[in-house]
Amino acid sequence: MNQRDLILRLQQGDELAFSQLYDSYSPALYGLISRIVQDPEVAKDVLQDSFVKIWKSAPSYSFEKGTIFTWMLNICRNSAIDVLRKEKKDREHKIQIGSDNVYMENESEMNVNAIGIQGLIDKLPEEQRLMIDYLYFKGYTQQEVADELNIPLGTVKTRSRNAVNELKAYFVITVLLWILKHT
Amino acid sequence: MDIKTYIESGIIEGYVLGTISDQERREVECMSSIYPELKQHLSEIQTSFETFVSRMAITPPQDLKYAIMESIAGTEQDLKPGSVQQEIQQKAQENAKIVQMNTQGNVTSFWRMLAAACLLLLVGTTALFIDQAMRKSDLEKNMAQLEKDQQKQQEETSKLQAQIDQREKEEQFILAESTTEIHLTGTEKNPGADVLVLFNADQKAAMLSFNGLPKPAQDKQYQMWLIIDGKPVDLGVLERDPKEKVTMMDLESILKDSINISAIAITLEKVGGNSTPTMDELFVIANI
Repeated sequence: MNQRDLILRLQQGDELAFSQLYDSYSPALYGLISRIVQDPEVAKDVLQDSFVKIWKSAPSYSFEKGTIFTWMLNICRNSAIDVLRKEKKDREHKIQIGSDNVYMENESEMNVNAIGIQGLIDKLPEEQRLMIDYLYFKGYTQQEVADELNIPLGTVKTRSRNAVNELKAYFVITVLLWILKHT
Repeated sequence: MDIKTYIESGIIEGYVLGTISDQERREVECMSSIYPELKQHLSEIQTSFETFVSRMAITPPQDLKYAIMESIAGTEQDLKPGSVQQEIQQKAQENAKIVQMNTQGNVTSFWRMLAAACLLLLVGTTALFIDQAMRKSDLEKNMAQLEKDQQKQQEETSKLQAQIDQREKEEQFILAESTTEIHLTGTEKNPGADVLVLFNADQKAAMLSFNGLPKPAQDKQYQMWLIIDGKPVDLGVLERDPKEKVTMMDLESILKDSINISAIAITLEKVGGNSTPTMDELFVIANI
């Protein structure tokens, strides 16, 4: 069954089609969610919530919107970022109360981040890599990044744009190479 | 819209990174549906991110799949936006809301509204009625007044007309060829007196000018005589306070036949006149 038929059946409430979609894409989506929320238990909850959302809102997807992968990707990323923001709020509240947990959480966060972006370390200049990290994986606004890193907003905008284009250039080549390798 | 500039603004990258507003997102979606270059740029970035994300794949625990499949098992999918089913669903929701609103005591207010409307109507009607009644009596008053005025006007008009007619008569009389001028001159008692009489035997009328007659005493009045066949004939008393300078006398009855008038005289009699002239009081006389 090709992708198109799968999607159409999914939109008609076919649970088997949904199951197949899950099998194809859940690893990539789970990986993304994990990079964002870090805690595996939280990641599992977010994945579950995301796929329920995917099931429910499947009829609203249309091919004009882009690929179903990007569509699902956005649902998952948004759910994960929401959780992250909520966690941050709770954490800030804890800091005010004077909890000891804060330090430990920060540590694990840094480690996972390093792993997540590791594939890009030699591909992108650090300043661009930071942009991807803060904006895509941490859900910061550009203004928040400017404040965090103490740099002008304009700089953030320029760097983030360049980072995306670099990333694009890298992965387009990667895909081409892969295609060349496998044909 | 310069597409190059739009692309260079970094909005597409922002779209993929999730850093732009919802409105900007809609804008990008719209623009890319119009401009193929935009769409291409966008889809290239999206594809590269798909590859990027695939590289960090982690296989989720198997039990998670069972949990997820169970979650969706009885769950309804959302209706497609714009589809017929969705419209029906929306309509049902809207109707439910309306019914809810109506049953929340709106019946009372409806009656109240109706009552208020009736009252208003009643008041309005009464007001209108009263107003009309007032107007009617006003109208009647006005009509009466109008009629009075009209009458007055008519009277005045006929007065005026009479005056005009009179003038015309006098004028005619004066200008008539057969009218003769007779001067009644004063007697010994009144040597300066001179009264002009215009006499017309054909028309059997005479006109008298009061100019030469001084106002008589309170208890006296002038009387005019015609001497016919040696006998005095009463022409009538003259007004004591004449409004007009002249007065016309109709001598029709007196001058029935062509008779011989020998003289015209004016005597001063008592008020009301006398049956025979008091020759002592002869004021003016003229022999014809």
